[in-house]
Amino acid sequence: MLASARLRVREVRWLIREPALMLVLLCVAALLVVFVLLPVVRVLGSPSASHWLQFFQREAFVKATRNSLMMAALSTCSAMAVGFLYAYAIVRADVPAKGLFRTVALLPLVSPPFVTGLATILLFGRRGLITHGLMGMTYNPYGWHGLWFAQTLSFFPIAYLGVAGVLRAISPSLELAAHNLGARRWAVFRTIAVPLATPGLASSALLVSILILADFGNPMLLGGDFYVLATEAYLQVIGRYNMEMAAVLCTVLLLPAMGFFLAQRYWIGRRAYTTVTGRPTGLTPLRASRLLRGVLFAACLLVAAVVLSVYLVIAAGAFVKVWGVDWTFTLKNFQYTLFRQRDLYNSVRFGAAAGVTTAVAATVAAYLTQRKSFPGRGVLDFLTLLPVALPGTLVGIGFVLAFNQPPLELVGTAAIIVAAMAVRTLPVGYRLSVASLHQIDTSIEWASRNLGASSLKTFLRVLLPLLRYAFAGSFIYAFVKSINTLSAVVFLMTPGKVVASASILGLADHGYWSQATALAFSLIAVALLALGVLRLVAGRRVQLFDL
Amino acid sequence: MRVRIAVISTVLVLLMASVQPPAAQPGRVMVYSSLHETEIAAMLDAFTRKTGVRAEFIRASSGELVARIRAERASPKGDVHLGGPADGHEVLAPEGLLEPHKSPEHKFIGPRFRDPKDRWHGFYIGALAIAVNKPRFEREMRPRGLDYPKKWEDLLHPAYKGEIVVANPFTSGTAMTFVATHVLRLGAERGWKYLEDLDKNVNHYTRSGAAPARMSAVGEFLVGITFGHDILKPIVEGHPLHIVYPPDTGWEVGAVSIIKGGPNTEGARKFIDWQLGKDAGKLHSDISLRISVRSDVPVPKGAIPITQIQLLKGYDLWWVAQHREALLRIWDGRFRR
Repeated sequence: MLASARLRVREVRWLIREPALMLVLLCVAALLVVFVLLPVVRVLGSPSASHWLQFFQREAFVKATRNSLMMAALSTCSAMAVGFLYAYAIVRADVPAKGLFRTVALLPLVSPPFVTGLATILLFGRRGLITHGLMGMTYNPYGWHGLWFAQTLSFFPIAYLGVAGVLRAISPSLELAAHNLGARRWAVFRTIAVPLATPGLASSALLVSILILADFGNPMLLGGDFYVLATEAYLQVIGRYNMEMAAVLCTVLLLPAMGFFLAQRYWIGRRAYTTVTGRPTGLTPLRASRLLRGVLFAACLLVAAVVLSVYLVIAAGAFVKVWGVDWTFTLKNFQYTLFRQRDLYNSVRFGAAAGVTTAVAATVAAYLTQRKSFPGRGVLDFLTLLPVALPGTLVGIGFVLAFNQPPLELVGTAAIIVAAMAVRTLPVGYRLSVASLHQIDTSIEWASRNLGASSLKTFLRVLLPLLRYAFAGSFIYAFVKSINTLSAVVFLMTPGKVVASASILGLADHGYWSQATALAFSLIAVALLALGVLRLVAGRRVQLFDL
Repeated sequence: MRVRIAVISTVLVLLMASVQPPAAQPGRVMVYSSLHETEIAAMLDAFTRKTGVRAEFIRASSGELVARIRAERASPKGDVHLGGPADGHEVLAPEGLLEPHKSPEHKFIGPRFRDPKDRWHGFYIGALAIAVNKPRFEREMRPRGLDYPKKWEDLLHPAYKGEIVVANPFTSGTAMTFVATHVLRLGAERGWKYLEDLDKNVNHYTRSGAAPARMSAVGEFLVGITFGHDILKPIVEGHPLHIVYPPDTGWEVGAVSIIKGGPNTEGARKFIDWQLGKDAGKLHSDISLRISVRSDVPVPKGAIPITQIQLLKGYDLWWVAQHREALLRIWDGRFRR
């Protein structure tokens, strides 16, 4: 007790000695409290007991809860399975056409998730190209099955990224050593790869399931009578502005997400293994057998074909007059995009600002929590990662509740939209930075400190250059995610501050498919363009979606 | 290194600065509207050209806007609530959320089309209708011996199971009108019974009132129920839709109102005066096929004059506004599957 108190005193004394550091720390802490903690507190605090009673009494809400959990479980399993297959094939099995597969997996990451839902209607809907046009049947995609398909396709790339990162982080040297000591392939896989990969896999699954749980674009388009919590909450806000009831639904949505989050933090997190040191190994991993490679290649090809058909149909839909009725080629739909260019422009500038905010905040926060000791370090780390467990709808509703009146009357400004976007992407940026920091040996910093540099100087001159890829990665990730985000910002839009993703969903919802696809096409083009520009500027050094 | 950091931070600062325009833009009118987006944009453009006052808009269904205006009562962000059935405006009036305005154009608008206390102002009328996808009907229903539906009861035929779409009254003013029509047409008990029977044929309830017209236009569903002008629009664009105005159909007075305490009430007054005028009335009717309440605005080409439609005599928008919450509660209890 006394010892720990003494430690705190010493920590504070260190901080006082470095006022610049202290100032930065206070700023970060204040921002996190206002933009992460406060909205959550407002959501948790606004409903009364009667609202909760209503929740348990209404069959519709209970059913929505069940539906949400079921959809998250189903889609996470399928997305993880596809993602693992894909990652193993690309990272370990060294299948041919890796570049193509990577590019294909990139597409769902750089487009709004509900694009897959829209394509599902166009391909497999009641007037769908494949089900109706080619097979002459009337399949009704509105329901859990259509949604499951769309969610798997939308979210498998995230699983792929997570798994690929995990597989890459496992240094081949351990496997080679085991192999050299006489272990067979399967034994190596079981005793080296699996235990090393489990924490990473679990955390990818966590991320995927939370994203699926919170998504409402696809359930909105494809759900039909299959309501999930996110769509229920959305309707409570948009249809009735019953903020309290929406807050209840968000809280229910938050519980499983929070459970996963805490499990990851206190169970999986403890079992995380880092085998990467600052020194690259330069060893090539064990090669998979020919048969395995063949099977994996075929599976990847199938997945890639399905994903490509989704995007081809979006592109095609943008250029035909009326999908399913009049297939005449036209550019007229893009006139509509021109008319909506304001929304596209809003998406881009809000996204860019969110990208900068996320990258800066994530890098600074990672440095503080990983390299400095101060009172409340654990809390800071917790708050930075917390948004990963927050459904977008909750962030949106929390922001409305927290920033709708003085002293923080921010609803109606662009800043609030940017803040919501940044909060949503902060955890991933933070994780990127933390992971990079873990790879940098502290000895470099101690050397700098011993030579008399301050914390700030060490950060700027030693760490920042080493972290620049993580920084760029955070920026682009946040930009691309932000221009596609929907759930958090849809509640914050005011006249003149409408973003493209919301317009696309609105158009698709109205049955204006051609216009919706044209606008989606443009939005995807913007995202790809941004990635292209980054590639031009930074070359191959920034491999954002190849982590 | 130092130079690079300086360059990077300058770029970052500039980027951040670009997000927030230096000052709030004074003089802009904030319009909340439930009309079609292209229509709103065309109207606001014309308004700005005529008066020099700039305007921004956000589109949502009218039930959503009612909820939003209520939610923002502490600090309203919108100035004008444009379009949607008048009961969605009337319902806000007793709550003190609308700013009364005496417009010089009022003398051209019949008293039954506007609020006696000048808090909302009607500018168009419309009636509910049934849209049927012609090719699909001929292929799927005609061989079964069915003819195009002529009255509301025809939609209860089991052949239409899963083929009808109509909107959700929580979000859509159109659907509110639809629900109220049957309650007023048949009385509470039989009206709700009708809606329950119809529910067996309804595939799902959409968010937007006009969406059913589009959905039946592309053949996704066979039958869509919405306001006639929303069906005429795809017909004029060349979609194979059959339109039916059943006898005793519900109708709306489409209204515009000023939101009390909005950021630019003066601009809103200008907007109302312009919107109620003859030129704006003609522009709006021509692009939307809605029929103006002004007798000096001609019925647009392709539209059906309201005199040829057998309207429900007992439809009372004041009654609907008064019973809105009760109707929604009952609907919610019975039709949320």
